[in-house]
Amino acid sequence: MVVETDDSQLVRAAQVGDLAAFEVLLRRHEARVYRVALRLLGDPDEAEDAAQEAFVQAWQALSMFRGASSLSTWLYRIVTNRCLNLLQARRPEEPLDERHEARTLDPAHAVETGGALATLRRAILELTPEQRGPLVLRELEGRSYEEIAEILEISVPAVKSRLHRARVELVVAMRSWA
Amino acid sequence: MNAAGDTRRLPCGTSLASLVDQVAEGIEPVDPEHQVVCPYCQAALRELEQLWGTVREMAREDVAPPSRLIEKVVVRIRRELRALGQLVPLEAIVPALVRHALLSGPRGSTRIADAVIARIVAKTTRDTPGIHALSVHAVRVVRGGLSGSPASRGVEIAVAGHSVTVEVRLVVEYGRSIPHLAAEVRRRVVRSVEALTGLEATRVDVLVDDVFGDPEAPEPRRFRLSRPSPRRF
Repeated sequence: MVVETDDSQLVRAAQVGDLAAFEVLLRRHEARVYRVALRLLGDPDEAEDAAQEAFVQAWQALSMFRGASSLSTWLYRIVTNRCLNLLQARRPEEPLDERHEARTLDPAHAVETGGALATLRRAILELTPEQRGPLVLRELEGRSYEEIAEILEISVPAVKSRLHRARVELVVAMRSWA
Repeated sequence: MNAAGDTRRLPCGTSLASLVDQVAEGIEPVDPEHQVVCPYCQAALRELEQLWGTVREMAREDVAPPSRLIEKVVVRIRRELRALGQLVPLEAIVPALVRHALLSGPRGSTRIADAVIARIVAKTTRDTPGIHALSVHAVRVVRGGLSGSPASRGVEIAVAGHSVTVEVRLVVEYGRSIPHLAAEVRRRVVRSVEALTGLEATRVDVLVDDVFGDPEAPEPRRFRLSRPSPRRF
């Protein structure tokens, strides 16, 4: 019989240095950590780096994890923080538009080749980091308002208002390219 | 937000935002009576349903993480541990064995494993004149796990914050005053624990398990000499 060990037992083992236990946790959570990084950053290489850094940071900070929130919430927080910091740092000298104009395609072309999904991807990357975090966590990751508030360390009303604005911005951007 | 009011408000005056929330959250319309008869609202809702369908499609997308992500993370952690000299499997095997004393400072904390303190106590005790050895046969099963390491057998440590209580079990040389030896062990242990770790040994219990050098002794004699050590040496 295979007994599935739950996260909290593995966390306890990993906290005292059991790297094998931590590896099991990594495998359990790698897909979502990488996915949220990719959604936030829009670039597979950057997302891989961010996911890797987030996991190393999680190992280093594991002794501080007290289990007040679930491990997945805690990991979401680490990786989201890292990505949003990257976006903030990137913003002033490197406007998103230019960055993605060069790499992706112009909107009209994107619609032709990638269809609606490509347009959506581009529209998400046009959002400010403040709006992108709540949008990705809610609409793509399906997290609750309360969990998003915990992940982003902001209040629930702040989550709602940012999300609300993010949705409108997204629609306006997608419409303008349609 | 920009001031392009036209894109955010329908010709009928309904805000795009309220319709967006209605579609994204699947909630009831703010003004249902208007909505069913308003061609602008109906058209906008159809468009939004379509756009949000794409969002939902993206949410369902299968995103495979890069093939060697975990391996790379593990390699990095191993390298880090090796640099710190920490890749000792004991803690991994018996997590319950690891206890730490904690010294907090303004720029970070220092944690000292009880095994470290036990070794200091063991060495100090062995180096005290008149002490023959620590009691090898007095190894206890500690906290349901393994006994202490050979270097610190005969020593038990309990830590709480920056206070440490110690129990040493030992074999003394025959012919020495046992109370004097015990007092000397206590004094040295308090001093070396404080000097080497910054922790305070608030209690040092000495258990004399045997004497060495008296061939006629039929069985081990046991004297328990227990007394709190001075708060500060």
